[in-house]
Amino acid sequence: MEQIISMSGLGKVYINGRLQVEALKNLTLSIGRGELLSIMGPSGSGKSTLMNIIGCLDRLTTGSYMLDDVDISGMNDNELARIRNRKIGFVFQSFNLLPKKTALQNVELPMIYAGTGKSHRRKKAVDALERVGLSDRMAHRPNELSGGQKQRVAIARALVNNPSIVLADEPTGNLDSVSGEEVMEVFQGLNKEGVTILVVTHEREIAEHTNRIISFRDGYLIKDETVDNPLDAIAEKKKRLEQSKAVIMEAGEND
Amino acid sequence: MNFYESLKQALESLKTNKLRSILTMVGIIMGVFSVVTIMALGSAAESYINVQFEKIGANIITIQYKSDAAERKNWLVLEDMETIVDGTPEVKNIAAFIQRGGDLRVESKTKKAIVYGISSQYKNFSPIEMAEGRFINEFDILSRSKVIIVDENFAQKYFKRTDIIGRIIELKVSSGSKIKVKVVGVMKGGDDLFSSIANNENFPTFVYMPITTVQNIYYNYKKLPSIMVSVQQKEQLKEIGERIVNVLELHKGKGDLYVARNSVEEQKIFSSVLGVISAVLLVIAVITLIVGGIGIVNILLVSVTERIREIGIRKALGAQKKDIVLQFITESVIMTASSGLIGILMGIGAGNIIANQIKIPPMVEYKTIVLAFTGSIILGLIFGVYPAKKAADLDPIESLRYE
Ligand SMILES: Nc1ncnc2c1ncn2[C@@H]1O[C@H](COP(=O)(O)OP(=O)(O)OP(=O)(O)O)[C@@H](O)[C@H]1O
Ligand SMILES: [Mg+2]
Repeated sequence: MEQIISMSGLGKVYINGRLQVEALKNLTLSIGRGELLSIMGPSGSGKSTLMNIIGCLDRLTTGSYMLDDVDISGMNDNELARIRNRKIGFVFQSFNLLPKKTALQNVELPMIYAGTGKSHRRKKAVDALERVGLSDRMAHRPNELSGGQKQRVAIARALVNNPSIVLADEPTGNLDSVSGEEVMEVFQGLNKEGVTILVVTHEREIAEHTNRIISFRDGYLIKDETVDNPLDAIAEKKKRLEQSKAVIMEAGEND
Repeated sequence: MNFYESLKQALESLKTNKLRSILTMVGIIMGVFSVVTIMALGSAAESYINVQFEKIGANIITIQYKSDAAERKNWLVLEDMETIVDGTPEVKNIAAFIQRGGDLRVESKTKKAIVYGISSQYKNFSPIEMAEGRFINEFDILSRSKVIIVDENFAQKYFKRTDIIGRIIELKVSSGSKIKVKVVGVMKGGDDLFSSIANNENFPTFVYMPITTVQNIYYNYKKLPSIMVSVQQKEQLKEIGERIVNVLELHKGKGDLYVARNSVEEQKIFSSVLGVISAVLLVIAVITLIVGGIGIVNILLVSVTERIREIGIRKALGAQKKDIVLQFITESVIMTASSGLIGILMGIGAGNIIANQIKIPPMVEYKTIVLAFTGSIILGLIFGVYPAKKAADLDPIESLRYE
């Protein structure tokens, strides 16, 4: 399989005054094109740190990191911004949409920095919103959307420049279980189309929707497992909807 | 990100904080307005003075005392005018005047007046237009006739009409003595700014009487403050002036008594005084502008703090430092450039009003407008740099975490 990401002996040390925190230690990791994988681990184990390094928001301290066979470590701020723009799509726990812009305008934003022309931009943004099932919400602002819809706008935005990898740091953390399944449904659909996706999560159930689970503790990669039969988000969503209906009905009977 | 995009972004962001943006702009608007108005005022005053000097003629020499405390025998007196004319063939006109205060009484009403006692050729030095009757003539001077010239506004106010030739007015001088004088002429009232100030209730009216009559009623005081001479040519005013001084000093038998000033020199002095005043005002206006600019820096810094998270998002999506810098500088320039435009428009308006009042063509110069506008843009660039740099240097990860 073609490697998108390959890291070896990677370390990250944060220095705050006299305090040093080793957030990642001697990490060797490869991610192939078309993978859907998840990262798990307790709080403070270094998951977000890894995402920030993969996403070129942060720099590594030791070791090497190749993205699409290009060495990232020696790049300057502008080159890193360019990589983020073209090769990385971010999805955050707290959505991070611009509140005064519509869904469509939010999705257009990465293309503005890519220098895409106006009409082309519009068309690609519409396409991306269609891919996440939001063609009827394009003119809405974030405060007019549900959490699940916001996260799907964010996914459309992450997709729109055809990145090498989509990085999602706890994308379901602020969502109820049904919306969480919807997000995973979108990810599974996109992955079938060939998009490489990396999801950080605390929930085992979410991780089991992916094909590979990597676990961290104290900055060390401690487990790298393959999931033989990943959960199907569409089926899971149906199950959850039925469960919640049953809960509502039960509550009704108790009255 | 191209310029059009950042322009759009900046306009949107200014629109979301409309009131705040407008209040911030007021400082710059006032600054640009004062700069434009002061420059306009400066050139207005200059051209007003030029017009006035042209009216008088540029070929006037004034003989004055070198020191204030001249002895009685060295006073300039009316007879000296003959000495000057006899000794200087270039002299075309010669005149003198004295200026005193008094009260004019018409029936029971009193009006403060400034009384000009003038010699017969005075009107060749200070253009006076008559509405009715005649001006003071040679005979009035020789016979010390008790006649007076008033202006239209005075006539209208105290007689309800302007053709008041032959009417008698009582003049009461500061010593308490009173004389009755006959109106022989009515001057036109001006319609420029200074005449309208002069028409003010509390402002004294200007009247003219024969210099000999005025000397007579005011203690028979012979001393003239100066003698004005006009010559045919414009050249060599300095030399002719020096010659007149020589003639007089020879006549008095003592040197170093008088100086000759000419209108060209005076115009120069006026202009340079005006230049200094304009420069001082301009400095004040520029300070206003800088204070306004600090307001912009301040508000942009607030804006940066409010938008830390937005900046983080933009950086995560691929914004480079220059994109963020461009965004904030564009905001700053939009604010200063539009303030500049408004200030310029207000300045042109004020300039036109002033020009209208003192009857000269509008004088906000093309140069001033271009300068003020490019100046505003440059100010926007300068004031935008620091906040923009601050925004661009934010760490993306910390910005994304910022609440
Ligand atoms: N900017 C920083 N300066 C200093 N230490 C940091 C910084 N960012 C992270 N750390 C430390 O690095 C370690 C890893 O943090 P990280 O955010 O990667 O954890 P995480 O696995 O994402 O945790 P969570 O599940 O709570 O999000 C933690 O001990 C954290 O305190
Ligand atoms: Mg984290």
